[in-house]
Amino acid sequence: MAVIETDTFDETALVAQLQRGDAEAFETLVRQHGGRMLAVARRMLGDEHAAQDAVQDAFLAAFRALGEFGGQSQLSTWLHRIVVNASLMKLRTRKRKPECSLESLLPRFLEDGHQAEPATPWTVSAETACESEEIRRLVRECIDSLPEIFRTVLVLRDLEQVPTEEAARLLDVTESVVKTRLHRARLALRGLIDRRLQGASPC
Amino acid sequence: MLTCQEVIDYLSAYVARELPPDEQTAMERHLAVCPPCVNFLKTFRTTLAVARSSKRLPTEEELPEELVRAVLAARQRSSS
Repeated sequence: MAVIETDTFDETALVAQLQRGDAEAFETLVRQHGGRMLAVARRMLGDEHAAQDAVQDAFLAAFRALGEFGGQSQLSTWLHRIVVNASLMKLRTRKRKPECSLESLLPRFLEDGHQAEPATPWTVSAETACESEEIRRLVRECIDSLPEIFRTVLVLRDLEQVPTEEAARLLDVTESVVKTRLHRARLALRGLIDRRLQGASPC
Repeated sequence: MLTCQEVIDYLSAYVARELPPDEQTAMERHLAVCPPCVNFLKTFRTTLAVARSSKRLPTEEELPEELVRAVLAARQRSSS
């Protein structure tokens, strides 16, 4: 309990210094939160250069908006939202990479509704898969190779845990579009992992 | 009886327990007799778990010193 109070106190003091335009406080903010923000941008953009740009944009946006930060949320939550937004802005303006077509990654069905290629079990269990750094990296590569609009919604919902309602607002689509895209993204990701685990090429 | 295609269409809602009780039961009835859909469900759940766990990659939160300097310089420019 004492730890939380100390943190809150430190954060209140830091916010007050930031709002007075204290340069050292700004550097503290960058060093304390920059790493986590860069990780978010890396997950959303899958590209180091763009991710660093997004973090820089995010800190400038935060700097301009500091006066409006009323302490209603934690600094980390507030900065998370800002870097998610900055990454989405980067996504909207950047050239698309060649990507696998989503259709090729989705399960296929026979006319009677049966699976065309019946799913087989994976040799690795969920627990082992989550603990293996190699598999986590493989999964991240699979996520990065999803078509952009699907990757974005999967990263927002499943990795960044942004609620459906907020994801819909950020992406300017309805909640039902978010749910449909997320489901298709998950199916495609499952298809990609399935191929990689069986040694096939991704597309 | 639901088809495999319908079961797979509803899988996200099923694992989030968002389906109405009769649809949840219809899913379970299909899964009870369809091993390929059980395999699909298991690998789908593993996909969700491992996607979540892929959030934690070592070194991902490392902050390059050049970026810190670039941010501080940009703030300087923007406030002057």
